[in-house]
Amino acid sequence: MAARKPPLHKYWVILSTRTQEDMAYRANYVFGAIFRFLPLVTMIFLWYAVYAGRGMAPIHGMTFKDMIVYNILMYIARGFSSVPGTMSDISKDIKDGLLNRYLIKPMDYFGYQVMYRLAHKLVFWYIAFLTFPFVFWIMSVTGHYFTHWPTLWEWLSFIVSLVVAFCIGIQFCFVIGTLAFWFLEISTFLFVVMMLEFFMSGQLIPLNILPRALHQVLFLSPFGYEGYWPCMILMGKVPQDHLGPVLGRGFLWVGVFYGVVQVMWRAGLKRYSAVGG
Amino acid sequence: MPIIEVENLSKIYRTQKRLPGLAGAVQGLFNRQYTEVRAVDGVSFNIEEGELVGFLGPNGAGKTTTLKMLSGILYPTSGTAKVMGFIPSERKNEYRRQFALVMGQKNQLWWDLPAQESLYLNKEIYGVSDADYKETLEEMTELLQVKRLLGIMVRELSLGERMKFELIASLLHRPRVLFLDEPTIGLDVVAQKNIREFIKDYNRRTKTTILLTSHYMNDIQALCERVVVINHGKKIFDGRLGDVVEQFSQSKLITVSFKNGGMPPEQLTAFGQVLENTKGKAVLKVPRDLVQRASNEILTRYEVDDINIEEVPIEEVIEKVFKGSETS
Repeated sequence: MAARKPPLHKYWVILSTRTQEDMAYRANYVFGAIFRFLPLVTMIFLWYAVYAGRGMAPIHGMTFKDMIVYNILMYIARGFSSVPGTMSDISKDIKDGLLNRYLIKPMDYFGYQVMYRLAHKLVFWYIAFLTFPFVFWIMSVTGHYFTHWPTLWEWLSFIVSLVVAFCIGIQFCFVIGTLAFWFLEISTFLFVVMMLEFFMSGQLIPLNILPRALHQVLFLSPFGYEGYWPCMILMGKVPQDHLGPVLGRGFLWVGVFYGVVQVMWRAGLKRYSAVGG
Repeated sequence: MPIIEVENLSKIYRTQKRLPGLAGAVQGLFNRQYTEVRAVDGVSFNIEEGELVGFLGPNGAGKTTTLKMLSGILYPTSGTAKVMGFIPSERKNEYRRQFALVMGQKNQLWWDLPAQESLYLNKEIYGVSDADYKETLEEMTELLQVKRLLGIMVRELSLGERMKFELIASLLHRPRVLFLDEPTIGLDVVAQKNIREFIKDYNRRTKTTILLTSHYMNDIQALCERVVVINHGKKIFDGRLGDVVEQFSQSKLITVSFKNGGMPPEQLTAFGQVLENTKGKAVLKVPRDLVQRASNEILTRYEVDDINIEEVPIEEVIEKVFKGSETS
């Protein structure tokens, strides 16, 4: 008798199928991997201009080298928390009635979405895993950018924070995407939300150099976990006794988002009109 | 006990009502008005296990909305639906493993991968065992003649070939109930015939209960003994396909071939409406209760080579039913 497969096996097959689909277009795959670096290069030039204008003096304790390291780590963290296309795809599924094909199958729509997106992320992580050790090595040799070597706890906390970053990032997309149950057309709104997320995650400017009142609010928001906190943890800017509470709050946000997504999904489906023959 | 029980099922949509043009669009920004559309209005019917029932109605009649409620995609506004004892809107996995919905225009296959990958994914989603999967796949690809296409990218397949794979994907888990919504839409006549024959054979062999909607009367005539007709969300007929004709068509067609080159039309109008009168052959549409008398008189008065009495074509009857005209 054949061995019975575990119930979650189907999600593994979704991931594997999506990975195959991603690899169907090799040129797109390679270009995507190469040009991902471009925004990072732009940010480095931008910050160089800012620091050069003030005689390379630190900004709120962040030196130019700190800023470069921050931006590189941010690139990695956003590689986990940013899930492009998820919000718009979910809203399109709802608006155009494409959700029908998922609703009739014995699976969870969000479980499907997680695996579908995760497959794409795995490709990015794979490329990052191959290229980033080289980037770090160059930076260490050429400019001694890394003034702080992370402790074991910081490494572990960084890895956990990346998991939190992914969970918050994708669930935030689910929340915004499912708004389409109520508003149908949300493309303009999506653009505004993504801009705000870009700012509030610390991707544009590190949150700690913002005005005090603003950064205290943003420290408590879930968005810092999408970029700012993982960077700060590995840069050694979070004291060891704060690591637990910082990650704890992150997990709390993951739980809150999970609850919100479930409530919105159930309420939304009652409004769903399943348009289209 | 029926496998599908529908009792007073209704679905009301709330849609925005907008005045035409730019002015209407601007007004809609400030003062939005809504209107209620009764897509399905108190429909009731039962279907026994193994039946193949045609679900007929013009566009917008409420057929697809009913199928969506039966498959748990939509919540009914009121009334109840039970399929295999399950309430579809609860979307229990146990229920979803036992039915399938095939929509002619919606695609569940992955466009950039060979069809076999989508089929394998469905196998895993439905928890089909390796042995059953192999057997079903072998059997269906053989029957639908698409075995050699399993490894071809879906985007490179023709519409008919894709539809065949859609059917296979939906039947891998051997559902007890199958909802088919326009499965032959957009296909050429050969592909339509293939799909039709497959459905008929599948129903006969597996005793799967099938509820089928189609705009092609050929599909309905070839497959369904029983039809449920709805229009404007309400059920207007439920019974044998042949009975639709008897109930809604009050005429029959008499085709006569005359020996001596035909009759002038004015003589024929006495018997009924003259539909055709050329080359010694006339087709008359005669009220049902006058058919016997008319045919006797024609045979007595004229020299007749051949006479044939038949029902009005089903398409014509259904068209009249849809239009609300019951006098044909």
